[in-house]
Amino acid sequence: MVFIYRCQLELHDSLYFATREIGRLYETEPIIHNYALCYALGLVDSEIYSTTVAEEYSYRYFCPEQVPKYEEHLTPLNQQGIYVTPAVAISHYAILNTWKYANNNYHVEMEKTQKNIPSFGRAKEIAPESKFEFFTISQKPLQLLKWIRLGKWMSKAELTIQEVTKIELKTGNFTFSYPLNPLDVMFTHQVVTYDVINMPPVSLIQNVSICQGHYYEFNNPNKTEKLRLPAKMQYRFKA
Amino acid sequence: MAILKTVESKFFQAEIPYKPMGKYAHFLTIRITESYPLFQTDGELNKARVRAGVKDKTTISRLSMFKRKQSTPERLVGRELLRNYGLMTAQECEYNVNFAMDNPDCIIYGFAIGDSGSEKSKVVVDTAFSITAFDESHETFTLNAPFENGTMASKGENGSKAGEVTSRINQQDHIKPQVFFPSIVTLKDPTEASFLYVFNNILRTRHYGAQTTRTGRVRNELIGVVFADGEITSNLHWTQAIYDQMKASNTLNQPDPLDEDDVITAAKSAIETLMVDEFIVHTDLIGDAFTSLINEVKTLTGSEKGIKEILQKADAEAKTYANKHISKKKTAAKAGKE
Repeated sequence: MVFIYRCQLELHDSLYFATREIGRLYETEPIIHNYALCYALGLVDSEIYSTTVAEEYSYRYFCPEQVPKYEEHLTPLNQQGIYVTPAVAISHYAILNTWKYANNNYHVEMEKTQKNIPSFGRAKEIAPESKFEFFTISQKPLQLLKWIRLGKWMSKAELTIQEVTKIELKTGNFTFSYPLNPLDVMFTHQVVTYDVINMPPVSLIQNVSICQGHYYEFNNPNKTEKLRLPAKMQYRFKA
Repeated sequence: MAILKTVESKFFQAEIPYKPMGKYAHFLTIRITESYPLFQTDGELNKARVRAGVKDKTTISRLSMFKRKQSTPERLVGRELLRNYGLMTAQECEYNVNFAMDNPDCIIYGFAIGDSGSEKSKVVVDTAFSITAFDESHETFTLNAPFENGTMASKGENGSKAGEVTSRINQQDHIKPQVFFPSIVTLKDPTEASFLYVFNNILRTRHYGAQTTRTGRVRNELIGVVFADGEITSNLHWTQAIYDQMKASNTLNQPDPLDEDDVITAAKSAIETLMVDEFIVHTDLIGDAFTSLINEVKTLTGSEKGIKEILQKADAEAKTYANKHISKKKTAAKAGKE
């Protein structure tokens, strides 16, 4: 038995994370990586979803170093059969914000630059009320939070979920227009063509066509044609 | 021993935990401008185009008060008090320059220092939006720098040509007085002392936005506290619900400023309605239940003995936490690198 949820996120604050850094411009693409979503949804290291991780990798308020632990954190989700696809904006606006570090002195003297670190820059952010969509696949029924926080500034977003019904597991050639994480899909499927969305840590692909693969077919609430979502996706880190 | 009598101790952590434990205290504030503050980044006031209400779907431009522009002044007020009562010196901990990592400010509001690690903030603030639209909430001022005699024309001061008109003139948009920004301040995993520390900072902070203009007076009107096991509604949603309510009761008397009593009434009933839709466990202290709490807090923070007790307790907790979870980690991290 598989449960598929169509999830919508509506931003209630401007969302910022650096998809890419172009000098002093920090750009937020209207796509949320599926690793980031797992953390934001509270699926990582959670007792509720039985995804607790080893004590040494557990989430803490104090982090002695800034090293991602995707493998340690996401493998328990595979064991529970939970998979989240990357989210794509279905309607969005971008806004530019200038930010700077300031101190609380009443006057500032310009000092000679010592390090090549900018003290100001511009951030292209996604405006409030933009909407994103993604899918969650689970072996067990999932109860997700209504309010989650996203991005560098922990911006609030409202999550609405809709359970997909009448799912059929089929095999064949198919295309999927939403973004996917290539590492999670390429070991189980033969990916023929795709467009790349460049972003760290793993660039995503979209408009993917797959040859002779397993997929879940169900009604797409927005469109007349059915949606074909690749089956057997898992978080993978090594070949 | 508990300091507060009006709040059950079950809402607080006994000590600052090292992991998120799912306790939340949400402070419901209405930030009211009392002079002409300035929230801007690009030489222009910050604004956002959003829906007017939850029901009223027309789009309007609202003034916005960015997150850190709310939390930074509140932090600085707390730091000022810690220094005043001798719990911190300016040398050992300087904001955004050199964090000592073991005082209430660092532990509660967080820090990030390249090699030494980062402490996540337990206080989360979201962008606040004005209830009224941008057009009716701001004014453009002309600024000038006149000569000694008060005119813009030179009398020949300091080598200038007599009769020359200065070009020292500029225009600047300011936010009007009596503009209302509903804003929820969320404190994760509060201990009683950290709850009071943050509460006091919100109550005491009087200036937000550009400091050099000396015009950023803002008053925080607290209308309640919600204890919950998760996040509650957003500032934007709350603001929109207030807008709907005020529109329905005909109290959005544009272009006049809103009446404070109307705003507070609408804010209380809007949040009460919104809380019904939340599927989390929550205890709402709004109205009478909140009055006794705020009176108790004000009595405590209004006396030297009371404020000292809060600061000392918060400081002791921060030191215990830092000893247990930070210094050990720091040496471990260093050892790991060698």
